[in-house]
Amino acid sequence: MSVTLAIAERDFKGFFGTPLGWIVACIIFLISGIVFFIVVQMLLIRGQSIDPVADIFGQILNFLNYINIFIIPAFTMKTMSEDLGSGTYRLQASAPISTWSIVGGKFLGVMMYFAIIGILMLLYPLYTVIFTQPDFKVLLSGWLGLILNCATIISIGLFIGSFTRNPIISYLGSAFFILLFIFSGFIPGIPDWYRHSVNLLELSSDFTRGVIKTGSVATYLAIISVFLFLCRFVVESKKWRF
Amino acid sequence: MIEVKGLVKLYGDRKVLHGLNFSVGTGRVCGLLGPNGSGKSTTMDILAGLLGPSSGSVQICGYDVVEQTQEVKEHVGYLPDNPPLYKEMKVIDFVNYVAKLRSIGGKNRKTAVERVIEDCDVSDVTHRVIGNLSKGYRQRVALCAALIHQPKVLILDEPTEGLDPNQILHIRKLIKKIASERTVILSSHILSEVQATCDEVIIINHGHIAAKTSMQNDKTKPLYYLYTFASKTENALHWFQQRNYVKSAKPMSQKNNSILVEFGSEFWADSAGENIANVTEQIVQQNFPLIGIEEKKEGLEEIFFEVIRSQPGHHQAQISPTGEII
Repeated sequence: MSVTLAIAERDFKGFFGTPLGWIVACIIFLISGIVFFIVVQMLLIRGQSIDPVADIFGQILNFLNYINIFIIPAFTMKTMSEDLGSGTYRLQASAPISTWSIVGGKFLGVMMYFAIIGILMLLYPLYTVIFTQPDFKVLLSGWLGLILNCATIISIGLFIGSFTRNPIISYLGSAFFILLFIFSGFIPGIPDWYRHSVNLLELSSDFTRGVIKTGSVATYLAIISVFLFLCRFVVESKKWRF
Repeated sequence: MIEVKGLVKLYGDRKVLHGLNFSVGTGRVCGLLGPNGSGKSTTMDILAGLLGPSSGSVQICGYDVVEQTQEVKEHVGYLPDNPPLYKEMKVIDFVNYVAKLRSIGGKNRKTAVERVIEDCDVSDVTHRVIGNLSKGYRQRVALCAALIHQPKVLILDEPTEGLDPNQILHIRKLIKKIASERTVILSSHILSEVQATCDEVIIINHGHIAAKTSMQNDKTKPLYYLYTFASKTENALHWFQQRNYVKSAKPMSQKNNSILVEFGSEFWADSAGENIANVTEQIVQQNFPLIGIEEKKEGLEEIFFEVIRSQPGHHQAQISPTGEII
């Protein structure tokens, strides 16, 4: 476990050692700040009472869940494909540690970054404490949805990234695969349970509204587990490439 | 310490290693020498437990690389041809990270990091970012990573590749210092590199072991004479080949105006010095434009070319002016 945490810590710090981590954080906060400003202004103009969680935080979370499809692959590309391409993966592969530790460490490293972003996002609804009383249960539910959504996209990104040493292919491939994964639910004749399971945006919107369904949590966890397992399998198989 | 038997590696239908057999004893420095694409790096990846063999067995410190990969990795330090470095990290942070990867914790980690930084002479750059270091320093930092856990076997893939002469000397000294306590296997396509560093040499060509030789044996090889002429002279070569006391005469591949002559045993039987003087006098009388004579022992270069010539596709291998096999 300590090795997994060491890999996670290195990758997490590595995001801030290059422009990627800072630029993405700036973009997220800039856009979410604009969304926050617009939503507050619109609600004030309409004269409606503001529900800080549903109306403000909910909007920001929905926005984040959308753009994460295009942001997270940049991080999984960096942590997995760049590691394979630059040869730094050999540093971990030549140490007496399991492939699970490597994959788990990389997963946790990206998770830590988005958890920090998620925590800083809580500042928006907490700011509204000054003039209203936010519903903290809905707040936490939305935050949990964001984290599960990020974890799912990260696991898919790591899986796709493990196939290639080329960062561009990794990024585009991951974003395309995630979209394909979501839109596969809209193929005519596909069962409802499948459509609900793969539509990550629909799954996360329940959490944003304060609804935590056991089935949704289980679906997220199942998708994460499957893709991390597949990623581990691909990484492990590199040793036996024929 | 290292025991390789019938090692075969296939990439798809392409066979890159054809049943290698060799062993390296404790405390020895063994060089894997061969042209690019001969299978050196694949062999090293397998020894380090990064690649699985298609067939055959590899044992390191008594552990099998397939069945006991983790144990093998505990005893092996590996420096790949492309040093695995996180360029945005500081040297001290990087070495600490590698120590954590090796599960070296607490006080032991501090001691191990200090020791390896001292051993690899990077103490003056510990707080610098790796990406800003010279290539020589980067190589030494990568060596720190390979040595942090005090491995019994050290595998170095092209350790001096791309370094300037000063850096090469420094790394060579470092390897010699390290080698006094452990088994080292290093690959190179630079002949002088292997000659300067290794106790024994394995020449690999097209995935086959073309020759094994000990650098100690090198000293007992018979003498050669290298005759250098002012211009290309086929006649001189022909003249040497016609002498019955000449065992062999061949042009040196990288010096077209030089002829490497091996004299027969009867030539050395008595008054060898006089014989050499007589031969020189005869060359002058023949009006061949002789400008130099050099006494040569049979070196790795000759062994290498002899071996490569006897292999299929030998014409592809040549030596560049800097001593690299190309």
